[in-house]
Amino acid sequence: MKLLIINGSPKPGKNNTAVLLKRFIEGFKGTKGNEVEIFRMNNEQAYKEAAIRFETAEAVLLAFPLYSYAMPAGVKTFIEELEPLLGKCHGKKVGFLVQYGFIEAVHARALETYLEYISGMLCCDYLGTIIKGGCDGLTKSEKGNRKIRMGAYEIGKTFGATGCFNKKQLDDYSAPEVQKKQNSFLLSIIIKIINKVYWEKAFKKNGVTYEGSFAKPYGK
Amino acid sequence: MKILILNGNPKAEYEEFDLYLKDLQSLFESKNHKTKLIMLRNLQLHDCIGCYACWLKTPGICFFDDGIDEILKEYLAADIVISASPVIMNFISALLKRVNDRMLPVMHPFLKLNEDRMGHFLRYSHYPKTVLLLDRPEGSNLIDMVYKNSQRGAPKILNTKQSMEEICNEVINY
Repeated sequence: MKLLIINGSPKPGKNNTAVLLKRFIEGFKGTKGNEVEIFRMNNEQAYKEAAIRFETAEAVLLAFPLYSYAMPAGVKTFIEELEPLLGKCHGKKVGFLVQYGFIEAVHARALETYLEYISGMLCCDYLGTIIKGGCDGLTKSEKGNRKIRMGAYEIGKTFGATGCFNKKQLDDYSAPEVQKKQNSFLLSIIIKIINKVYWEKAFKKNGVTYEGSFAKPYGK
Repeated sequence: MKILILNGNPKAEYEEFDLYLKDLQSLFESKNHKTKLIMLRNLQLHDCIGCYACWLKTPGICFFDDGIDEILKEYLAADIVISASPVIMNFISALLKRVNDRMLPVMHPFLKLNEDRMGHFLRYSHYPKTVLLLDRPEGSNLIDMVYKNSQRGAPKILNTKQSMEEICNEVINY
């Protein structure tokens, strides 16, 4: 299979979406004869170009970070470019990969419903949506987050071999759906540690104090 | 009451939508509600690029000095913000979504647990109520679903097929 992968991360350089894609592609290429075309999309010209490539592709994976519980504005611009293709994409396979910082899968579920709906409107064969939280900072350590990387590899491998996403595999990868009540004490401690060693360290490195990080430049 | 209307119509040829919002603004003003209307397509706003400068370098202030500061100020000063958009590909316009993404400076990076899921600390103690005004009822259930998921809850969703009086009452009594 020839797969067009569109990376809709708005970041100019390194991005967490690309880290997951890299592993997914390794898995996908494990099956002989599979080919990948990667297209990076983060400017007006690229949204138009991506829509042209989408039209002729046999199978597409659209990957992006979750912004405000939905697709980033740039990815929405691309989706608007697809309007002339509504009802015209019979036989085209389309899948999605959505990654973000919060750990739980629930944050992307409503968007997933939208992505499935719009795939249907285009008359594409909807493959599914790979949802993965806890992905903030993937670009920072090549060795950490092994489970997150390997999960993407395994999903790519399955897709490469079968041409489909396996629902159970996606659900296992996305877990937890929400946090269980009995874990809330432990989780609140983990969150405090993340705030301290991840966020606080990051702003202090820029000379921003703890109090300064709470600045209210435009209001109360 | 202080009202801010963000016009997220990307197409100048869709005049009907722009005129509707102008009339709505006049109606609010006739009832003594100070109403500001911002035409988003006339601004050259950049997409959010996830640089986190607004969290980690200049807390609360976006890296792009492209007019977003005015929108953030008006947003925080308003009692109600009406985000208006045509439904395009069953979602809000990319133009309005862009402003949505650019609201990151009003949040703080710190995480917290909101019952069964993570959320962020809020930077400010006061936020406006939010209304989403669409040009038709179709598609609003999907949009509603997406925004219901968000930390500050679903905005009230109204559509321009409703009478302007009705919209006005819904907003003022929200």
